[in-house]
Amino acid sequence: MQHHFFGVKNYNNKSNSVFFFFGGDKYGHDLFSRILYGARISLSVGLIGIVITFFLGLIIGGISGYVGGRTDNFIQRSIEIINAFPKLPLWLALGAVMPADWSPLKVYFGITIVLSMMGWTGLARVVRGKILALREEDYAVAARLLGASHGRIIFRHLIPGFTSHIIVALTLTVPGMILGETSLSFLGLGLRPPVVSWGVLLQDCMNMQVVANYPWLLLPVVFIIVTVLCFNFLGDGLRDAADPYSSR
Amino acid sequence: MNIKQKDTPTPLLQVRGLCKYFPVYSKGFLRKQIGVVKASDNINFNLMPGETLGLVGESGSGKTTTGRSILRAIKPSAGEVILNYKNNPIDLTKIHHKDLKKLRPYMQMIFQDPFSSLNPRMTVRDIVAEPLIIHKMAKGSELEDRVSRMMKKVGLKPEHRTRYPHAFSGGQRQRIGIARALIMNPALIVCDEAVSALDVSVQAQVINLLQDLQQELGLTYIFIAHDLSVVKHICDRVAVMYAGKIIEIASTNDIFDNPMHPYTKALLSAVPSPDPDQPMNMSLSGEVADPGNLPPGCAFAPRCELRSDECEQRIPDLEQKPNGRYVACHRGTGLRDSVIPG
Repeated sequence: MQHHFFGVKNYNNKSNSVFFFFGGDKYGHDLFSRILYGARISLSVGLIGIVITFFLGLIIGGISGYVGGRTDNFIQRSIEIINAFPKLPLWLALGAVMPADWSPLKVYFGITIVLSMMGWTGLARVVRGKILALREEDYAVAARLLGASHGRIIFRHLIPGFTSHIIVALTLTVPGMILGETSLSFLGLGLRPPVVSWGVLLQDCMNMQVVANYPWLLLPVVFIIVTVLCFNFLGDGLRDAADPYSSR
Repeated sequence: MNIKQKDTPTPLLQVRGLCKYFPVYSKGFLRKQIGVVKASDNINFNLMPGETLGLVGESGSGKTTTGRSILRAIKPSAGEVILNYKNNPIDLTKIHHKDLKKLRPYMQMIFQDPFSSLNPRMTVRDIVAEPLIIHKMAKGSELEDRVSRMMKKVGLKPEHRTRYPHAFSGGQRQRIGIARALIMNPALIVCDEAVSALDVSVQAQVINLLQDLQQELGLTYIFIAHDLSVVKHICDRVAVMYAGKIIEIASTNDIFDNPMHPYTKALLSAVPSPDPDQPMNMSLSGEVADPGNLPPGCAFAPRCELRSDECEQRIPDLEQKPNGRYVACHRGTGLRDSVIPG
């Protein structure tokens, strides 16, 4: 005997009747399970993306702040140029570079890289500003006078001074990545069916007809909003937890 | 100018014409260089082993810049800093920074602000042990042993080694800074306003600690300060700086009992007396000279009561006076007998 948490039993006298919690899409797929499966890709894009963002931002921002002078000037102007690009057309262009015959996995990594290429600038600025400020602290000068190498000064003295900022900045980039993937896939430039992601699911809601007649197809939006909010709250919470100067 | 070595032992440190100029850039896109700030200009002195040289002057007179240029915390613009390293004179201004690392154990610095000079995210043990780790001078139990001994020597409890700097008071933090500077057995210590940020009662403790350590370890100090009573207590010789230049250098007793340069006199007259009945006879008016925009003659001339036309036209050199002192003043010789009251 089968046990079900909830559902329909022998509806219309059919023994294999099914119940779709969030309804189905046009092919009769269960939307609820597709949203759950889509979360795998939509969430992991953000997490893999920040790994790349982290390395790019930390290294480029670190060089900019520590070396200073002309290098700093050059890197900062480059960041401004990257930030000045309209995001959507750039995504379109970079998305179009990916060959149509790539396997879904390759496209997925391609998208992640495209997203992190745009995302590192914010972190690089945070890192550069902090290193610039901490470099002149007396304890950094003291380390230099002790004969410490540049690497030791950066990793032992400077970076520990703003790990909380890095964590927060990274956590706050995750929602941007998720939204980026969603927008790209929604526009048909990112992932394509049969891969399931929240953006891909939303492709079905392209026209008003669908939205008016089958509003449950918009349910992935709720999940996106909740996830983005969660990451923002997580970032705030981490900031409060990691900041040694906040009142406890 | 020329300072002759009269003393037979070799000086630990010879500073010759040390200059540090900071360029000033125009605003705007091209950022052309429009001038220089002569933060320290043509500094000359010798430092004997075991000696304490005081470096005094108003804020902005270039004391800290001079101290930091000597240790190559900042690269000097010109001049020589010759360190007698194991009877081997080495010019610190010319040496490549990779070779500088070998000399670091020989010269260290104690900082002014005990709150910013200690990394807040390292324990006391990590801070004090770091020099030994960097130079691979000790490891394992020997390292722990030396850290404990050093902490005891500066008056800290070795069991506090796992604490972070924020758990300590200003005086204790300064002791941590001293322990970090001394653990490699350096010969030369630059104390950059090492007690200025401390309470007066704690100042005395730290100064006594510095003096005890000097006797015990045979240290040589360059003691940068603006508090003249501290300088009088600890220094053998005093160099007075004004607008980036040394204007008088003499033994502590000579400076305090018989200052020759009008600026030194004015500086001494500004020391408050503990006697409330004694009126302050401040003879110094006006602002300290801007090292980015110096007058053509003596930098002190605009504030000097004794200025002559020569003072306003020609920069006085630091000249040796008959009694073995050095004064940079056109009028200096005539002032030798005037003693400030009190």
